[in-house]
Formats: sequence, C-alpha cells, structure tokens
Amino acid sequence: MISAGDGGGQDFELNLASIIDCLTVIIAFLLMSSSFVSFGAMDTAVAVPQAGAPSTPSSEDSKSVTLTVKLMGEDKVEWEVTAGADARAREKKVLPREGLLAELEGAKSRYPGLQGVVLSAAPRIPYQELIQAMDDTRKVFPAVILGVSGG
Amino acid sequence: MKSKRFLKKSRKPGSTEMSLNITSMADIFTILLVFLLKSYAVGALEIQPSRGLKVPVAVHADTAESRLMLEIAEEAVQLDGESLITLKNFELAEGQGLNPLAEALATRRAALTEQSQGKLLLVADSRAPYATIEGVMRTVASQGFGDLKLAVVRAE
Repeated sequence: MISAGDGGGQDFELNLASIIDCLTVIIAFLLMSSSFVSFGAMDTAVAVPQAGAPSTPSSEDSKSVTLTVKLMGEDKVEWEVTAGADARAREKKVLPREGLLAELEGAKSRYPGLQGVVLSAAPRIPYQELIQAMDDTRKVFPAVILGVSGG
Repeated sequence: MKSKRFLKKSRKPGSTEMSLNITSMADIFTILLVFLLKSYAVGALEIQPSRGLKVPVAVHADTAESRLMLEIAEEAVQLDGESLITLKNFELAEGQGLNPLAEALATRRAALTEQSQGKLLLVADSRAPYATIEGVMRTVASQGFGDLKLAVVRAE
C-alpha cells in the first residue's frame, strides 16, 4: 500500500490504485441499489356515512365538532363546520382554494374541540389536487379523513 | 501547476513506461461516493409502481412500512400486482362494478396475519379523478381495511 522511498528517506508515495478499485466497486453497488425517488405515505382513514347509525348521539358526540372540506374545482372549496348533538351547521361557505390554510388555522383557534378534518372532492377533481389539499390540511390538523358518499 | 504535473509523463529516457497521476481520479470518486451515500435511503418505502403511473407529490409525508398494496393506474386496478379491474382512462366502464376488488380484498384479509389486518397502502395515479378513488376507497372500507396510507413522492 505504501511504498517507502529509498533507504531511510522520509518521502513515500501512497498507492491509490487499490483505493480506486474499492471505490469503483462501492460506487457501482450504490448506483445499482439506490433509488433517487423518495416515497412516503400519508396516514388516513375513510369516513363512510352509516345507514344504520344511531339517531341519538352519545354525550361525547354532542360535544364533537366536525369540519368538512370539499374541493369543488375552479379553485373553490366548500367549507362546513357542524357541531352539537344534532350536528347542526355552524359555518357553511365557499372559499377560494388559496385561503384554505389560513381558514384552517382560524378554525383551530375558534373550535378547540376540533381534532380532525373530513376531506372530499367533486368527482372530476384529480387525485393530485386532493393530495395537495391533504398536505396543506396536515400542517394544521394531522388527522385527515377521506369522506366518501354512501354509494 | 497541478494540471501540468498531471499531464507530465515521468518517463525514463528510452523507456516506454509511464505513470498516471490518479490523485484527481480518487478525489472524483470520493465525491461521487459521498453523494451516493447521502442519497442512499435506508429503510425507505420500496414501491414499484406500474409503468407510466405518476405518483402524486407531497411535502408532509411519513415513512411507511410494507403492507398490502392497492394500485390505481390508467388502465387497471391492481392488488399486489394482480390486475382485478380494467379501467379506461382511469374510469370504470358503464355498469362495471368493483366486486372483483371486494372479493380479492376479502380473500387477502383472511390470509393476513393479525399484525397486518386492516392495513393497506394505496398507490394511485395523480391524474385519477376522485370518482374512481372514492369508489375504490368505499370498497376498501367495506372490507374492513381502516388503516390506510396514501403513497406519495416526497418533495424536497
């Protein structure tokens, strides 16, 4: 590896050929095995309206606040907050898509009992838009549930 | 100066031997090695999407463990690589149901270990309309798969 100079000399030359051999093998292995696209995942669940759900909610349900956000297309978002035993609407409005994040932050301070968001979209909305909205929502509410119609 | 030294061939008079200065090559290889080691994701989620499938991009994504994979591509819905439903431009044909998916999920669920029960990873194309996603989600939920993860490409 190290070739010493002539008798008693302090100069020596490092043999780099073997090091380069090792590096070439490691680089080839890493190039073959590495993936340059990093996949991740977003936790969610599905909220399906139950046909046989009890009509009288429990005392726990009566305190619950539900926020439903629906992507309508054309940069519009339908916003609905329901609360109480009868799940009556507290807020119902249509927002521009850009204002969603600010509105979510406002809702977090207005409704301390609000734990998560039900997110859905109009039938023609591409999946990427839903994921972007979910990504924004998770900044404020980590629990995002996908809302689907009863079918 | 250094480049001149690199080009200089240390040759004895009359000799055909030459020595190449490989220090710069070692430098390049070291930089390459550092770059590759940095981009080498150990323990990252291994997904092999179908050809042409565009996975949506998100910033706030978690890591995910390996689990039963359901894929919604342009032309098919696949469960762990097995094509169950044919789609046309991400949409079901008129009158086509999702029964084959429900049956396959029920079969798979029975075969899953207790730890993997109800866990599913959805890999859907970013162009798929919500109507298709919604139908598949409804079927998934009806078969008791409540712990869902949506696969995304992490944006830097």
